[in-house]
This record gives sequence, C-alpha cells and structure tokens, in this order.
Amino acid sequence: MQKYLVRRLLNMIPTLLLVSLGVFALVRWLPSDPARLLAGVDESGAIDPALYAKIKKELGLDRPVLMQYGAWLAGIVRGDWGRSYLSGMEVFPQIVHRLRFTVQLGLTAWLFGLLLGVPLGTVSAIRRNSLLDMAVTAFAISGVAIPHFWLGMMLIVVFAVWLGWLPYGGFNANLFTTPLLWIQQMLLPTFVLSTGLAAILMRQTRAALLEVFREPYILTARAKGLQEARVIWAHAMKNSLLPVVTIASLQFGTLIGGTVVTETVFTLPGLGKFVVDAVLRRDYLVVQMGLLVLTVAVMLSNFAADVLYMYLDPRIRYD
Amino acid sequence: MELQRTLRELMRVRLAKFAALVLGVTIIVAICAPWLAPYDPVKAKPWDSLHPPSSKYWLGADRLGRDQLSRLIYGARVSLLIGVGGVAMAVCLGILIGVTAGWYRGVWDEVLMRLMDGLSAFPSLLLALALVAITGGTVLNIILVVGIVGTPWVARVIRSQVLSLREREFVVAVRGLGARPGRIMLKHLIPNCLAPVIVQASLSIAAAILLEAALSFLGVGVRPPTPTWGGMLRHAFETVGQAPWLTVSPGVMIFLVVLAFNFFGDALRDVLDPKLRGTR
Amino acid sequence: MRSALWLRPRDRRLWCLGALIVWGRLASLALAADVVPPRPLPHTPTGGTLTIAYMRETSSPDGFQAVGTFDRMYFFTGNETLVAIGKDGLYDPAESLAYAYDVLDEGKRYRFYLRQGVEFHGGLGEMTAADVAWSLNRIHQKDTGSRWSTVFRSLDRAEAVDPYTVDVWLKEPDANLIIRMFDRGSIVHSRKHWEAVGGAVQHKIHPIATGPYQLVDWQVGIDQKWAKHPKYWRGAPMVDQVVVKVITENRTRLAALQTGEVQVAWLQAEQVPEAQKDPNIKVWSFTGVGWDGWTWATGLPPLDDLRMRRALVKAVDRDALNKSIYLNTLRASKAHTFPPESSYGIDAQDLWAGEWLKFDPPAAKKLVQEVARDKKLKLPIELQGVCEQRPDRQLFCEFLQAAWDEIGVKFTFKIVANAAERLAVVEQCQTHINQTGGGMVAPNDMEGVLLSNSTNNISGNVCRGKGHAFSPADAKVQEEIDRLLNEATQQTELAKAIDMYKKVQRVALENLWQYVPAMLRVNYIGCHIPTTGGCDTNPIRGDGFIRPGDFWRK
Repeated sequence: MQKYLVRRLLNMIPTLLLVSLGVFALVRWLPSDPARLLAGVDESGAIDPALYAKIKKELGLDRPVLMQYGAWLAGIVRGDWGRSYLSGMEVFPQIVHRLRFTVQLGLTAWLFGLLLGVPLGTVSAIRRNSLLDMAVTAFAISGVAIPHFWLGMMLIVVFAVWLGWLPYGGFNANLFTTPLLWIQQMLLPTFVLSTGLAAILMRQTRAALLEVFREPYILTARAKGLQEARVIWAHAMKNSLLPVVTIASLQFGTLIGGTVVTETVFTLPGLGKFVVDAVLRRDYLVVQMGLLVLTVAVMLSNFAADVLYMYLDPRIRYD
Repeated sequence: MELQRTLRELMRVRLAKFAALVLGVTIIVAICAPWLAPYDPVKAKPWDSLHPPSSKYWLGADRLGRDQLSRLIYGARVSLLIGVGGVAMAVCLGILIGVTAGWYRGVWDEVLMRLMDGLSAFPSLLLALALVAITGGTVLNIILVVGIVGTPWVARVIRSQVLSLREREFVVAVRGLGARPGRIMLKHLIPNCLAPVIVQASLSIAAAILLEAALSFLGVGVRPPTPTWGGMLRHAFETVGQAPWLTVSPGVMIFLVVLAFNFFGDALRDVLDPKLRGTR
Repeated sequence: MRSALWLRPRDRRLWCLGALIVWGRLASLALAADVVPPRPLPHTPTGGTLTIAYMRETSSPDGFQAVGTFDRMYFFTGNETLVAIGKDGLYDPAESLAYAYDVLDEGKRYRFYLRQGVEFHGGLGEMTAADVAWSLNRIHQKDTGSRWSTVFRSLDRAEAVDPYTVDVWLKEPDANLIIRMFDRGSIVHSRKHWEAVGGAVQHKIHPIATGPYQLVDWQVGIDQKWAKHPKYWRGAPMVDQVVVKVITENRTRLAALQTGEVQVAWLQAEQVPEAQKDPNIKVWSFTGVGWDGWTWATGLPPLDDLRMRRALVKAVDRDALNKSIYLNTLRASKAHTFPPESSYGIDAQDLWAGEWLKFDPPAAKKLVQEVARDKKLKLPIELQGVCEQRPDRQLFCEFLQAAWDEIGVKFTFKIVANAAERLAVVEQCQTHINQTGGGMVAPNDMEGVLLSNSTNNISGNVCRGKGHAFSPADAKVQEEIDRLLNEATQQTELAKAIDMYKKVQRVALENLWQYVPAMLRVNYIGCHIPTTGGCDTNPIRGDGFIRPGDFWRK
C-alpha cells in the first residue's frame, strides 16, 4: 500500500509541473503590459522609454519566456513570490493570509455539510417514501441546482438588508477570541457553500442505507428481535458510512475550489476572491501565484481523500 | 427498438417527466424567441425604468426599461447554447483523447492523462474566468472555455471503458481479422462507451449552465447587450430596494433548468445502468 | 441635498486670490505673515474605530502615487497637501501645512510659510522646508511614481529658504498654482523615510506623512487600517483607528451603513433614495465635482465630422438617462464642464435646448444620413467603444447603444475592468467612444483632456498620425482652445483668466470637442447618525470628498 501511495505522490509531480506551466502560459497570454502600468508619464505625457526599459529589466520581462518560467519556479521554491504590479505588496504573505481563511471556510462548510447531510439522509432512508422523505429528497436535489450567488445574495437581502439580523458579509472575527462574531460572520457563507455537499451526502447516505437494508444480515438482526434503532446504528450505519465518508472527503477538494463565488458575494478575505479580483484588475502576478496555490491545495486535498479512502476500506487493494 | 424501450422506461420515472416538460418548454421557447418575446430585449426604453409587474410588463422592466420576460426568453438561448454546446465540445474532445489514450497506451497514455489531471485540478470557475478574460466574452469563446473545462472527466470515463473493452473477445476478434484501429474505434469502441458519458453529459450541462451564470454574475460573461440570466441577476441586485421582483425570475429559471437536467441525468442513469436500478 | 455654496465662495476666492496677487506684486520685501492658528478638531477624542466603506480598491494609500480621482477617500486619511482645500472650495490656511503664502516676482515665485511643530508619523521628526521642497521637486522626477508632471509643467523648482520657508520658482506665471496644489501633487512626505524604505515602490505600501492617521495594514481588496497619529499638529485625533473597507456591491454597502457596521459610506445613485428615507442616515451631497458622459476621438473618422458628433449627442435623451441609470440623482448638464451657478460655468442652454444639441432623434438620423452620403459610408455606421465593467457605466453604454441604434449607428463596445485597462484599449487608436467621467474641480483640470499635448487628448496627442487626423476646421478649433488655455493660465488677473476659461467651454461645447459632459456629477455620502459624530454639517470638501479626520464615535 505504501508503494502505491508513493507512486501516487510521484505521479503528482509531473502534473504539478504541467499545472505550473499552464498557469504561467495563461498569464503570459493575458492582454496587458505590467511594465507600462508601472512607468509614469513625463511632462509631455509620454512614457519615458528609458524608464520603461529599466522597469522591464527589473521585472525580468526582457528575458526569453522559458527563462522567465525557470526564474519563476526557482523563486517559488526560494519563497520569493514576487510583488504585485499594482499594489507593490509582496504576494507570499497575502496569499498565505487568504489561504488560511479559505481553508477555514472550507473546513467549516465541509463539517456543516456532513452534519446536515448524513442525518437527513438517514432519516430519509428510514422513513422511505413518506412525506418527510420526499421533502428531504426535494431539498437534497435543490441544493445541487441552486446557484450559489443567487442563494447568497437572497440570504444577504433577507437577513442583512431587510431583517438586519446578520452582517452583510466581511470577516474580521477569530474563532477563539470572538466566537459569537465568528459564528455570525460565518453562518451564511457556510450555509451557502455547504448546500451542494449536503445535497450529495443526503442522497448518498440514503442510497447506501437502502442498499444495506436489503442485506440478509439486517433481516437476521430484525428477526432476532433487536430494536430498530440498534439495527440501524450498529449494523446498517457502520457499513454504509464508508462510501459516504469517502465521497465526502473527495468533495473537500471541490469545496476548496468552489469558494470563489461565496467569497465574492460575502466580501470574504479568501483566496478565491483574491484571485478573481486580481483577474478583474489585471494584476497578473497575483493571478499566477494564486491560481497555482489554489490548484495545488485542491490536488493535495484529493490526494488526502484518496489516502483516507484506502485506509478505511480494507477491501480495496491497488497494485 | 432498443431506443424506444429506453424512452418508455424513462417516461415511467415521474421526475423525468417533469424534467422533460421543463426542458421541452425551455428549448421551444429558446428556439421560438423572436416570435414569443413580447418586446425587443435590447432596445432601451428608459422612461419605463424599473416598472413593476403589470399587464404591460408581466415580470416587470429592468433599469433601462427593457421587458424582463423578453430578456428571460432570449437569455434561455444563451444558457442552452452554452450549456449544450460546451458539453458537446467536451464530449468530442474527451472521446478523442480518451479513445486514443486507452487504445495506444504507453507514453501517449501517460502524457494525456497527466494533462487531464492537471486540467481537472484547476478550480473550474477560476479557470473559466481567466480564459474568458483572455479571449473576451463572446458566446463562442465561452462555449470553448466550458468545453475545455469539461473535457477531463469525459476523457477519463472513456479511457477506462476502452481499457476494459479492448480485451473483450469481440474486439480481439476484429483485430485478428485485420481491421484498422480507426475503424475499430469508430464502430466498436465508441458506441459501447457512450452510456455513462450520456448520463454524465446531462449532469454536466447543468453544471455548465451554472458556470455561465456565475461568469455573467461576476461581470465577465457574454458581452452586453445580449441578455444572460446571470447578468440579469447582477443588475437586479443593484436595485433590490426599488425592484425586488427582478431578482426572482432569472434565479428561478436557472434553478429550474439546472434541476431539470439533473433529474434527466438521474433518470437516464437508472434506465441505462441496470446495476443501480431498484435503489429509488 | 445640494450644497448651495457655489456662488459665494467662488466669488470670495476671486477676491481673495486677486487681492493676494496684487499684494504680492506690490510687496518688494516678503514679510512673514501672521501664523494662522490650526483649526482645532471638532470634538475631544472619543476613541474607538471609525469604519468607512467605499466602492472600490485604491491604487495606493500613498497619495502622491495614487492615480484615481476616487482614491482621495483613502489617502486623505493620513496624507496632507501643502495647501488644503476647504468646504467652500477655497484655500483654508487653518487646515494647511503652509499657513500663508506670498506671490512675488510678478507671479513667478511663491513663498510658503510652514507651520512649526508638524510631526511626521512614526516618530520620524518634524516636517521642515527641506521635506516640502523635496516633495515638490519629485513631481518632475521620473522614478518617484509621479504622474503630475504635466499638471505642474509651470513648476521649475522648489527651494528651502530657511527651516520653515519654501520658495517655489515657476517657469512662467500660473494663476492656478494653488488650485493645482489642492490635489495630491503637493502632498508632503518625509524625505528621510522615503529614502530609508528604498523609494517609490516601498513607500507606496508604507507611506509616512503628516495626517491624523498612519497606515498600519493594507489587505488588498478588503480594507486598510490606519492608527491614530498622537502627535498630529491639529490635536489628538478623535478615534483610535480608521478602517477603510472595500464593499463593491452597492446595496450591501448601504446595508452595512444601515446597521451601523459602517459609520460613513460612499453612496451610489441608486442607493440614495432609500438612504434618504432612513432616519438613521444623513445623506450629504456635493455637485460640481465633474461630469459623466464620454470622451471621443475627434480625429477618427467619421467623428471628424461635426455633423456626426452633433447627431450622436442629439440622439441621447439625457433626462431619460438620469431617470433610468441614476434614478434622478444627477443633473443633466446645462453648461459644459462646470455648473452654470459656479464662477467658472457658462450658461449654454441656448445650445443644449436649441437646434444645435436638443434631443431630436429624427433630426439626428437625418444628420447621420447626410454624413453617410457625403463620406460614402454604408449604413448603419459602425462605431467602437470601451466601457468599464461597473454596473452603472456598463448600463450607460447599453443606453448609448440603444439610443444610437435608432439613428442608424451601430455601437459595439469592449468591457474593461478599470481605468488603466481602458486607457490601454484607447491607446490602440481604434476606439471612437470612451465612456467615462471627469473629476474636474477647477478650470485647469480641463487642460487634462482639451490641451493638444495632454495624455487624455486621444486624437491630438496619443493617436496623432496613427489613423487620427483633425479636419481643417477641427485643427483650428484645437489651436483656439490651446491658445485660450495657455493664455488663461498665465493671467495674473483672475477675472481675465475666468473669462478665457468660459470661452474655452463655449468653443468646446459648440464643437463638441474631446468630451461630452452629458451629466453633472454629484457625489453622495451617507453618515450613520446614532454612532457617528460629525454628521451634522456637510463634511464634503470642495474637491467632492470627505476627510476621515473630521469624524468621531458617539
């Protein structure tokens, strides 16, 4: 198993390189000249060619493209991620700060999705074909279909604009020092982000439980006279939780990548919004690094999920 | 004969009926937009700005006085075009890549699959956003972007199908008879791979429509004055104090159409994949 | 609520400036004027955090390097200009670093008297004439991030005479020097600090200045945090911390103001009616900070034909524009750059309401057909444009598109993210129409677009020879405007200067030159009464923006 894991990890390296190359090419292809943006204008209103050339040299934009790529990679490893062309601020601390938030949001939404999806799915499976089942199924299905930005804006309009119960968005709380504020500010974004996951988990749990219910050992347990609750918990759940957990962990990566819209709507200091803003402002160096970091985060999450999956299910063996 | 049986089974599923209804109506409306829309979706009539729903404007008018209903109808065109077009492109590209990777294997397979891994690792919205920023917001560009973003999963599914199929007896037999690889792929491999792809395609169209709506909402979708549902929402929230009704209709439309494609995909899966039957 | 302060103060400025200039010419010996005491802050310090919400990110908290008009909402939190503009649009010595100035040598030398005891942030010592002279001299230096070289083209050099006196030498007299200095070109920074951090790039994110608050943290796209400067020369700042937040969604910004999460907020037109109905919010406005409309390439065919330009203006119903996009919160212009009630404004109703420019689509269509016939162009005539993504600007373009469609003109436009990108598109010299506005507070601001050698004169400067060429009639117009603007700036009698500025606007409007100021811009600020002090009087200065140092927490 370890050999498989190591191989998987090694396989990620060429993918990572391809991703970095892709990001680099993408940003080079974007229409704008950062040197021009930085060079001021002189008395007659024209760009000073000497200053322009100097800035180009400083930014390393006068070298051949491949060399720029190499220098960029070397810089990443060294920890020198460059400075934004527009604000002049260092990219590394900004990205780390935003990534911390995005992971926080992703984890919270993930847990929320689990806590919402699994119980509802269980209830739905137990009371199969009842009104409750239909309601839950309807909710589950809607969760996947509803656009995040629409849901988010509607919630803001209802809870922040009309009722004034919750803040419009923004985030400056700390889980440990200002827990109440943290909950207030995280509530709506977490809910919006978790709807998709909760919906998927609901249906998965329901389907898995229904399948397990058909198994002969459940019939045996019931015939033995065990209480229904014990049947469900001790026998059914344990066996059906596995696919649910694996799907949930696989979804974590998607969640991290999908924070973009939620962060934009609620004005949250996350990496997704940071990259979107940078694309819209044509702050290309930030786009480059932000996109790379986010993609790597998603890849690592997926890898972690795979490991968890393998660890949990002894029936799976890879060679 | 086979197709007829499949369709009949499909209709048996209630939700599929609902989905078919919604989709059918949407498609017809989109095609017949010029005849159905009561007003020109583009012509600004500023004196009717933010007109509430009435007999004149059934769903109200937007900030430039344009009829919301007409814009909704024309918006359906954009959403469907991009959704279906994008996924169609993803399927074509994905088949091309998946079949060649699965058939030839070796280095070619490795390279292609690494490429697909890399592509699918990108968060799709960000990738789409960056690509649209480069190429500009025309319908064709966005179809291409959606197609590129959606290619990896098709490629992977097809590839795994091909890998298992190529060892099957009938394929071995045909190879033994001296058939060329191209012919084998076209006549034998691809038709047998399509079932899971079709199921997933329906679900992907839903995702593509959501993607396009998100891009328009962020302001980088199809360029105005073409109405898009996401773009309509973007402007509607600006004036939510004066005209809250404008925020409802485009959101509901996106929701219904996405829902319908999801149901359709589920129903297709139930019908085409016998293993999962009975869990409903 | 419109500020009714235009008439009196502008006249006052006339007399004030005129008197000072006359006095300066007579004085052979510059006598140090009496120190004007600093205006005390309106309230004792209350502590707490003041939160201001704004609609977009700033380019830089270092005022000198900030490129956008609207960046003033940010950098005036901590930066100060040598001479400050008051609420009435005049030089306000009680809030200026230079409490007085003399005009000497027939207008070619200005002597500024600096206050003593003005401390820079961060314990970096006292502001002296050396800092001021250095700050002014960097305007013409190239690696300081300066974009004000053209604005201060009359400036030759600044010299420190003694620790608290600075002489500014001009190449030629400039009646507008003080007005030019109200904007960020004369912001005073610490030379020591600038050089210590290694120049413009670092100073951009670690500015040290003289204002009431010092920048502590900047999260791009989120907010800026400024902490109080205890040694501020006007007294201890009233709050401990000022946070300037970016909330791009207009409606959510208003929501934040309504709940009191935010004390002061920029209001966009569509939020104003709702804000005015809220008893917790006081809405203040300021008219005449500029215009909204479009600039165009008068040297790119078919816009080189005046008939075409007239047709395009005659097809636009500005009242309908105001109603639909701005919810009647702006004003359709009856003048040119400045409102008619201002000292610099003209009354051009005869042009706007008469044959020349009146809203008349059939007449406009005829003009278009004439032009098409004469120039052998196919109908519909195609025009390219560029628009910012901001919702109201995008809608403006869609409005124009629909309006011009009626008269046989097909208008297609690119959407861009911001002003810098817009400029990049325009400089490709294939764009006819550039939807934008102009922040124009003083008449010399017109130079930025109308003068033939300015960066924003597209056909006259940037794209000359690249497919743009003025028609002979238009070339004469540009000559006339250049002459008037250059002569105006060299007048020593302000009345004569104003006359010339009015002539410029008349000529510009008759020929629809460079820009069409369709709407008069109005800035709106909302103040949350229960939590914020300083909301009782209009906090907006003559440049259309607030100074965060004016507010306190209740």
